[in-house]
Amino acid sequence: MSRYFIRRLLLVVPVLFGVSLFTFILFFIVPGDPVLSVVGERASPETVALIRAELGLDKPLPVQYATWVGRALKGDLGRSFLNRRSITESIQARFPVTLRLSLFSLAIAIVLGIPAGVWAAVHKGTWIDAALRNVSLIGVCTPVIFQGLALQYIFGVWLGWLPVSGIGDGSWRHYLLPAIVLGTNIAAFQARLSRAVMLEVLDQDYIRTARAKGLSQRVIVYKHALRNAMIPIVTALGGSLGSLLVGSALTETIFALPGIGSYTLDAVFARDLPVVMGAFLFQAVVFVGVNVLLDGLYVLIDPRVRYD
Amino acid sequence: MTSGKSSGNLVTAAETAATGNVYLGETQLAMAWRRLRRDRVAMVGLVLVLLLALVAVLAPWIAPYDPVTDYNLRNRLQPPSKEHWLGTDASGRDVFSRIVYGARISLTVGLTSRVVTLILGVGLGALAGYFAGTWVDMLVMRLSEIVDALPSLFVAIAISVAIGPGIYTVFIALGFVGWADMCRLIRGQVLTIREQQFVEAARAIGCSTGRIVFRHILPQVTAPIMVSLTMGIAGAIMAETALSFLGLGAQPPTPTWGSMMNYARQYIYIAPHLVFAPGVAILITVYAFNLLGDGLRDALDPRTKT
Amino acid sequence: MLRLGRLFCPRLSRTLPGLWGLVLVPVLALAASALFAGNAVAETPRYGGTWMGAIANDPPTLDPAYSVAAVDGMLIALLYDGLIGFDTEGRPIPNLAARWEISDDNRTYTFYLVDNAYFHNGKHFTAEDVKYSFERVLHPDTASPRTWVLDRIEGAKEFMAGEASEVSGIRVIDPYTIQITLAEPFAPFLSMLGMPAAHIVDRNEIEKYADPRTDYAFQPVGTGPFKFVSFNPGDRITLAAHENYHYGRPYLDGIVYRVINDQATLIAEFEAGTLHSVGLSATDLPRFRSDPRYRDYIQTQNNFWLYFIGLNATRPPFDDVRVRQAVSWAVDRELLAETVVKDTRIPAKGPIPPGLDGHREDLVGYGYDPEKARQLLAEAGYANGLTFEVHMANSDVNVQLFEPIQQMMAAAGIRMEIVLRDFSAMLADTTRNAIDAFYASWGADYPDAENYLYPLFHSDNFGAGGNRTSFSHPEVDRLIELAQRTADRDERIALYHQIEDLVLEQAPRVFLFYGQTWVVTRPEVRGYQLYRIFNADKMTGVWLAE
Repeated sequence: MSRYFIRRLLLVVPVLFGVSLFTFILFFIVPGDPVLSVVGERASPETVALIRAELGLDKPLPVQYATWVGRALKGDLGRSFLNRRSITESIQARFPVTLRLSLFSLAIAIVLGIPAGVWAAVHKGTWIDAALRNVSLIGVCTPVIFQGLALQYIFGVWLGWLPVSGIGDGSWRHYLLPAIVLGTNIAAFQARLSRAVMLEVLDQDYIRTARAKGLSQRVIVYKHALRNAMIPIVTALGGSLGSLLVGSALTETIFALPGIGSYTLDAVFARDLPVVMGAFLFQAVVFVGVNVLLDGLYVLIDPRVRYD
Repeated sequence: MTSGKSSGNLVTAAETAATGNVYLGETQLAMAWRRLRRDRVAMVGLVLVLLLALVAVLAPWIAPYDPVTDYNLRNRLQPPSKEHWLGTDASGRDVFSRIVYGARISLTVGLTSRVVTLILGVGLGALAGYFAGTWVDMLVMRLSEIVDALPSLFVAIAISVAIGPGIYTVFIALGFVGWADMCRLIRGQVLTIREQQFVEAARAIGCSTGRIVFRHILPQVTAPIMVSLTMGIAGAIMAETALSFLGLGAQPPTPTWGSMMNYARQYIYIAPHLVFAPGVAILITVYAFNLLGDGLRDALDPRTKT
Repeated sequence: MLRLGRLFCPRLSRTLPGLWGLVLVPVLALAASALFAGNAVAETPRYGGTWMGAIANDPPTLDPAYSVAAVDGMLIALLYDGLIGFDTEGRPIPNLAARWEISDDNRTYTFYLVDNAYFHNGKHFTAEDVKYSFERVLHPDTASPRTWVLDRIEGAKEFMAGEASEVSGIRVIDPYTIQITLAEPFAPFLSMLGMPAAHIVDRNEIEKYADPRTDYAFQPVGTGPFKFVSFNPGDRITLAAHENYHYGRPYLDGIVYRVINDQATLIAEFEAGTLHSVGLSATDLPRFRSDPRYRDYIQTQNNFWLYFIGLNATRPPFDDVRVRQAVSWAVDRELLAETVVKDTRIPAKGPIPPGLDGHREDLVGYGYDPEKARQLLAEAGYANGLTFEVHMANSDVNVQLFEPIQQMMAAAGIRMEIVLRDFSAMLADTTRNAIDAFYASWGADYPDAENYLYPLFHSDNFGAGGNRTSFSHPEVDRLIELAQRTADRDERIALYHQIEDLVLEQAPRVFLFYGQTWVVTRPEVRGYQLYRIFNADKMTGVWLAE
């Protein structure tokens, strides 16, 4: 098993390398000049040239990329073109926001999505099934921009129970509304998946055997079936966590949260190359990391899984 | 188990789109179609999808006004009325007409970006699966991991910025970031099927690799492809809304539901109908494709008993 | 320029330092303030309370030498002072200079400084600080993008080239008197001293750092009414009252600016009572005006934004003046101002906005005349119609504005395609002269018509200089240079009129609108005023009633 994980980790290296090379190339296809946002209007050509040299943008592309890789290998992601802040420090400051938001969202998705899916599966074909399907589809069809606005007005403006946006003092209250937006979208997906998986499991021989033995529906569903349905459900949750941790550009922007998503979005639009490179790399590391951890998790929840 | 008369128009269309030239065992298709016909919910979905397609095709005859040129600034943001069933927008154009024309573009966006995803995903997945263990497989899998590890929305944004916004950009950007999952899925399926007897038999009688992949292996993975296609259309329509919000959707004055919804956001207090009209259109579409997708999954699943 | 407007458009405006506010600008309105309307009962101002405001984006720096964005200019005005400040209308008023004299040849400015100004670290402000701050901006090692603000001072060119150790035109007479001599007369110079780059820093604070550009940027120390407390990127920036401010301690104990990019979120925050003021867009305005809770607390002020379509004079089809004129005739500005942008934009006749010397209320300019446009196009050889692309930053506001314009143009036989892009990409394309037409806006860095005429129309300023249409006209160049040297106000205004007439005839840009700012404040806000220029508000008169 440890050999498997070592091999997996080794395979991560070319992936991260590929991510950085792809980002770098993409950036130079994208029109726009980062120096322009730094110098504004009416700067003299000498100043522009000076800044360009200072940022290293006057060197040939392969040299720029090699320089970046060399520094990144030493753990130095460099500084933003625009505000000269250390990218490593910025990510350290912003990732906890995204992490908290992700965990809240995932919790909401688990609490709402899985029971709804199981419930629908158990009542397949009844009005409960139909109602849950409709609710989850409406959830999927409501764009984040409207869900966000509606929640802000209902809970923030009219009821005054929760802050409209921002992280304030960092308490859970500030994360609740954005987490509902993200969480319900995942919950809708999770409910559909759980329903499908449960139906499949409930149709299997050992469940029929269990039923024949006269076990109660409750025991069958929660003890036997759900346990066996866990692998695909956990896989999907892991996938959702991976995407959440990358940061949600829209939700973070609408709720004015200083997370990784808004950080990356701003950098893409400002052509802040080092920030884009650093953020994409970090996001790739997180995504891959979550997946490696998931593989480990399977061993724990399903004794049949062995890596060798 | 003989070939049914309706060996599935619907399946043929999607199948052609997915792989260019797929041969599906007719018996299997006929069986699936029979099952689908018996699924009332799925048939509702199918009828809705066909209706939407009809609206899209017949838009010029259905829409009472031109969606772009019939504007009137003196009559903007009007609520629904006899002249304008769904009211007028910020330029004083007929919202109903724009919704009708929007069906064309939004369905095209949804379908095309899914097809791009499928062509990439199925093509590369089949390739990797067939050549499992070789350098081809290695390369494709690493590529898919790279694409997967990249933050997809941000990459879609960067791609949109790079090639300039527009409807084609949306296809490319969404197609590019979405293929990795499909690729791995197909690879896995191909790996399983490859070892099965009928494939070995085909190889034994000297079938070429391409023929084996296209005639014997791909038909076996129709189910995940079809489901991904129908379910993915909804996702692509929603993604267009998000890109629109970020300024990277279709160019004005093209009416798409996503951009209509996005521009309506600022008028939500003074003209809420502007939000609800495209919202309901999206809802119906997503709903229809989901019902159909669910039905197809059941119908195409060989384990489902007839 | 934030297109943000957006929120989404949010993205855009980040760049703008001064100019180019693209259309997301309403957000910036927060920086401005409003005239306190109504409630004219005399009340005694109360000290205390924290002002809650919002900015659309993080400031890239708080160091005056590197400030090119509107958001940092606004913050720098609170943290630092310049020799002069601006009143609500954009006229120079005393700040660190209590008064000044200008010599008869209009080259020498003598500033008599206040003697009671202190930096936030307690250090006494003197004329040496002015000399240091100005020389720092000009010094080649500083690599400031804003050398052009001060490079007309005598000896600046030599200093910048490293040939002199001091700028000869900056002379400290005594600790409270400084004399600045220009190489040649330059009428807008006084106004330019109000720009962020001319705000005064403390040498010791800068020299503390090995790399000030990186390390001083968010450790600012000035003489301004508020001192820096903390900055949490993407979240908020916190300021506290400067107890020893030379014009008296501000009433507010502090200011918190939240970083909020989305206009809808801003409005929701305001309605939830967590912001003291918010800028209103054309779509927000009707709702707030009709709401009894808010309608008495709305203020408005013209601002210095000029909205236009730039037509590239070096590329067909716009290398033909008749085609440019035809496009100018093909937009019904009045109708748009009555509908889509109702009350938030004023139809523009020419490039000089109201409130600046040289603006003419009676200017005729271009109206809407599709027939005339057709005729001009026919003369220019486009009888069968003209097709062109107009590039613009993506924002809701832009789209709402240009979809109707597209139809107006169509009525004149012009097929105008809208190309929405992100602002940065569009900016780069206009800089390298790669597109035929674009929509953008220009806001004054300093309140003088020269700040429109010279950057936008002088052939020295192609591309990033501001003349993104590559417009070149020797007579316009000559008159602009003449006006810059002309000290007499009336003569200068006459020259501005001459330039404006020529520009209108040449039509290198389709002048669409001048901007208007609208802001609503909480009922407890007193003394809040809206300023025409983006970095004029010092927040010293604002207080919060119980």
